[in-house]
Amino acid sequence: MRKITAYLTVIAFFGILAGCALLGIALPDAQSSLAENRTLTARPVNDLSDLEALTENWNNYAVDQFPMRERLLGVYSALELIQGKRFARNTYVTSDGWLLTFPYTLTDSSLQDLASALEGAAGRTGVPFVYALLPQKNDMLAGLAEPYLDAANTSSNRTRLLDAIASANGVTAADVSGDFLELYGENEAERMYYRTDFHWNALGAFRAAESVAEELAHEGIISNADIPREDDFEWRDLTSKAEYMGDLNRRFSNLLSTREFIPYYGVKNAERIEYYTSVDDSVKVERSEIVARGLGSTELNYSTLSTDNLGYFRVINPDARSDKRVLILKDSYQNLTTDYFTELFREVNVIDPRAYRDIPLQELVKTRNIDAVIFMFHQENVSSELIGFLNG
Amino acid sequence: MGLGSIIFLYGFCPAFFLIYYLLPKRFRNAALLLFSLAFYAWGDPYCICVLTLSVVVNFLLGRLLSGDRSAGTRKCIFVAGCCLNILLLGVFKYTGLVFQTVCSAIGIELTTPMLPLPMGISFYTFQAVSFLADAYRRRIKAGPVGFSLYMMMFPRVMQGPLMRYEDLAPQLDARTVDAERMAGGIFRFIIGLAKKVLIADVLGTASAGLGAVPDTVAGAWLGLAAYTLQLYFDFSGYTDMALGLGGMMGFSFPENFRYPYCSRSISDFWRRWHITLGAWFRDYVYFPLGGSRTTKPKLVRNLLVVWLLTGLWHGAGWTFIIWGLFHGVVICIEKLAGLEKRKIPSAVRHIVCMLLVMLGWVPFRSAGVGEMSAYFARMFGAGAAVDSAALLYLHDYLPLILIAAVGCTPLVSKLCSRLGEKRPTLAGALRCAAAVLLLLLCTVFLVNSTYQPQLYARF
Repeated sequence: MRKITAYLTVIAFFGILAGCALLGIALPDAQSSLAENRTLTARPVNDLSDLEALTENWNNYAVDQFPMRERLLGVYSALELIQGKRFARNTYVTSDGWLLTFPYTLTDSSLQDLASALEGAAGRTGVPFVYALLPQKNDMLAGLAEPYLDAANTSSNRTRLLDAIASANGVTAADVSGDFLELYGENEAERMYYRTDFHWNALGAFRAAESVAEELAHEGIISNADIPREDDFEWRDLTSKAEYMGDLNRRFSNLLSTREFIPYYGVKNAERIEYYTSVDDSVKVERSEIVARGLGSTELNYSTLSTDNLGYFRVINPDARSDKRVLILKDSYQNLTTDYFTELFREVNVIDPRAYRDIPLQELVKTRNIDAVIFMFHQENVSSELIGFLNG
Repeated sequence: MGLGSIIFLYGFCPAFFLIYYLLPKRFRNAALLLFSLAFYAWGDPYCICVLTLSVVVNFLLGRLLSGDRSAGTRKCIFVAGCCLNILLLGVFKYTGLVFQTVCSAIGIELTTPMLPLPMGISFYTFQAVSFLADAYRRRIKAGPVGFSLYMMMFPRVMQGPLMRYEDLAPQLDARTVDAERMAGGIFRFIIGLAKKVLIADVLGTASAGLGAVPDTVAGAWLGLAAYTLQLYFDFSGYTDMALGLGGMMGFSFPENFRYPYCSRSISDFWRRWHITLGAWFRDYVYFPLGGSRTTKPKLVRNLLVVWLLTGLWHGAGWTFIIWGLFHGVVICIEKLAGLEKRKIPSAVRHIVCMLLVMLGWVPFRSAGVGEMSAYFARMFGAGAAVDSAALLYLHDYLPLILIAAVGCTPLVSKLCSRLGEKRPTLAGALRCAAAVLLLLLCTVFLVNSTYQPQLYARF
């Protein structure tokens, strides 16, 4: 009997080793990992000029292209969740299934760079700059992960960013984060953010856009009467119609519940609205190509419910409440506010500095007769791409 | 390539064992040597020249020592050989430390020359000195393949265990493997892999995550506890893998660990931790200096010399010297006061010993004396008592810390032995199932993360 178990051990061991090795050779290489949101290492080119890099690349290749790796990542995530870990996959997991990202501390140098870039660009363009600090999920819901997540960090980021913006001449700060903290308790905030996503949902985005519009009215850029309210939009509740694939849940191979509160709002009548993805009029696109592309699908995510992270797009609405033309510089938090500003402004130009490669700011402001520049970034994001773009 | 990497496990390992066992017995040593060269070249492609040079030079010196020469000539050859090996180690490992020390002593600031540290140089240099000493004393002879395998056999080349050539030589000529021995080797290898991947690397996340100097008192103690267990499971895991791989080829390598965290004194600890290194220093430094059968001042001198060298062997830095001397001083106190023979409750002995061991790991893990001081200060009250990070790591890692703490004792091993005696069939089946399960679990953990090199590999 001892011999039999010994033979079984030997056969199982070498069987698993050889089996996985052969499968790895036979199966085609995967291009990317969904759970890790990254491109996987491709088969290395045997360049003998750098042997250390070559062996390192093969090591990485062996790990990245391991047979059924994506499924094994899911098994790992399941083990982490079963253990009841509060921090896994670089994400805080609360006892009731909320996922929060690791807090980021803004550096003094990045704040100084932002302030000087904003001041310089405001001076060169000569139009009003309004910088909206958008409340990131952690800022509103850090309490859910207490005592394991220190909420003091996010609050310090906000005050330091506000101070930096206040120090830049020609720039007005719209403290949407402050408004949210003042107006909404944790229970209300929970309805404005996706449980398993980095972002807010349409309700949170709408409230933030409303807060920005109020600041614009306060600055005299629009009138109070122009501010769109909830009834001016078509609202839908997609909760029972679709599963929500949150980007933080993806890190856990979507093992956490995909049933979420999914509100959606859109303009009531989009017939006369035009969309362009080029600074000139050469590339006109359909609304369905860039706004809420996934509407109607049974699987939704932040990207398919909003405008994506396009480098540039422009919306022309002849029936808008204000005849002003604005330029919005933004990160992904803005994506769910596009329809709000479409309703408000005659022309909305949207730039994501991470992907924008067209004419510089000053030229764009002049070409499109921009009346105001609005910055919409969540408060933990001082974007180096934005600073680079502002500095020309 | 480490023994606990995906490419070793699923590339090198099946390829090697397939070829090794397809070849007739007389070619197996040559195959093992070729694969060992490939293994080393993969991990450190440029420094294989240093290893090869060391092998060739020491082999030739060994030949000279084993020949018919006068005692004086043989002594000269031996001393020259030792100096060459120490020089080789010194150049690659200690140039930076010496350069920095000289610069700061004469008050100038220069960029420290950084030479690459060849993988396993501390281990194979000690193997070489051991061989030369034995060749000098007992005129042992070695063949080129046998000696090369002694120096660079892939399971041992990075982190030992250190052994004498005489203990390996008979196994090189005649070794047998049957299914049971092979299965035993596989099981030992998988246990080592699990220690490294499932415990050491995971605890490493906690000790590294809390920072080089944690922000709070709780964080500092928690980080140190995690590091203490990580270090043991990392190094003993590697040793298990090496012994397991050796067993799969029919070799029997010496044990390196015997539940060191169950020790009741620091002297006892060093009889259980990195046993082969302790034996090396005992045989080639401590005894030649006069050992313990001498006057008390000389005993203290001998012990401090050994522990200074032990510290230096582990790393070229003042923190390692402090760590070595700390252990040396404690052992001196234990020996002079006869603490091991006094009647002290064993729980007290054990707690004091573990505290001292853990305190010793602070300089061992610190990048510099400043960091070490800050860590000690934090442990003993400089800073807040607890913060969110400490609470988080405590919540997430306490179960594993407790499991690891139990794993440091012979409890599991004793239970398995008892089951093996009473229900051998069930024990065999469970062993087989555990091996498969642990291998699969380790694979899941390995594909999830980038490879974490063994802590002791840097020595």
